[in-house]
Amino acid sequence: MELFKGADKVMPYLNYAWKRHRVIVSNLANADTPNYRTKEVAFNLEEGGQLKTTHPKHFKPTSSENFRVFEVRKRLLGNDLNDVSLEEEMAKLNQNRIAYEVYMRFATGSLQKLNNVIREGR
Amino acid sequence: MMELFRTFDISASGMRAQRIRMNTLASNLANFESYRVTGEPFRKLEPIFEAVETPEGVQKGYVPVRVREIRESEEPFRLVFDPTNPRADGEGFVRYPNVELVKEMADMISAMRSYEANLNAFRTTRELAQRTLELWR
Repeated sequence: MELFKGADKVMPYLNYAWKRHRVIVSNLANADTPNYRTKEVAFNLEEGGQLKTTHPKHFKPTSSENFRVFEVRKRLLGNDLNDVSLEEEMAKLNQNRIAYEVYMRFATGSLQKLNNVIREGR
Repeated sequence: MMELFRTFDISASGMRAQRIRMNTLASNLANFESYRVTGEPFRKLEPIFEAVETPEGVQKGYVPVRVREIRESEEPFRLVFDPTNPRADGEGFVRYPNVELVKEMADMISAMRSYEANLNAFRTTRELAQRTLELWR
């Protein structure tokens, strides 16, 4: 059913935005923790976050956890060996919130279309 | 669903840590010139922050902060030459607590900014969650 797939397409992006939000929130919570390094999420956009399979008998990586959290090694370190930049994280937080909003609008839009069909356009 | 609420926990842990830091700062400032019952000057209190990093937690983006301990600073006491003071030692020096006003003030601003950043993050999480809930309608 093609009709129900609309919201599915944005799901990896929504998951990614949510995950990234969590990582940024963690960075902000640890803005004053000694030895803490800034973390970031990596996501393969082209494949919708999925690994390629080169053989038909390979397992399909269908789990929703297609992200990897890694430490950003910045050159600039504070005296407490912490490299979180409060301004940078706030900027990322706001940018990510807007991205989430965009994906959410896609999802709501496709669901509304479905609703419209169910109500026979009335 | 529980994951959603745990996101609030991260910001809450950050705010809690900053509030504890603020408490110790206030105590330090209040005891700027006080002494223990033993006659020993007050020692500055320092909270030690620690990231709660577990491998699974990091992969889920869940790294809250906690205060490991609040320890007494080992920094040397302030020495002021004042021979008429009853607390003066043989050479006329009086020992005062190792609290430094300027440091405490700078720390206070830093704690306030961090608290605000966490509060902002908390608000954003709430907005995202509300936005998700609107899908029900």
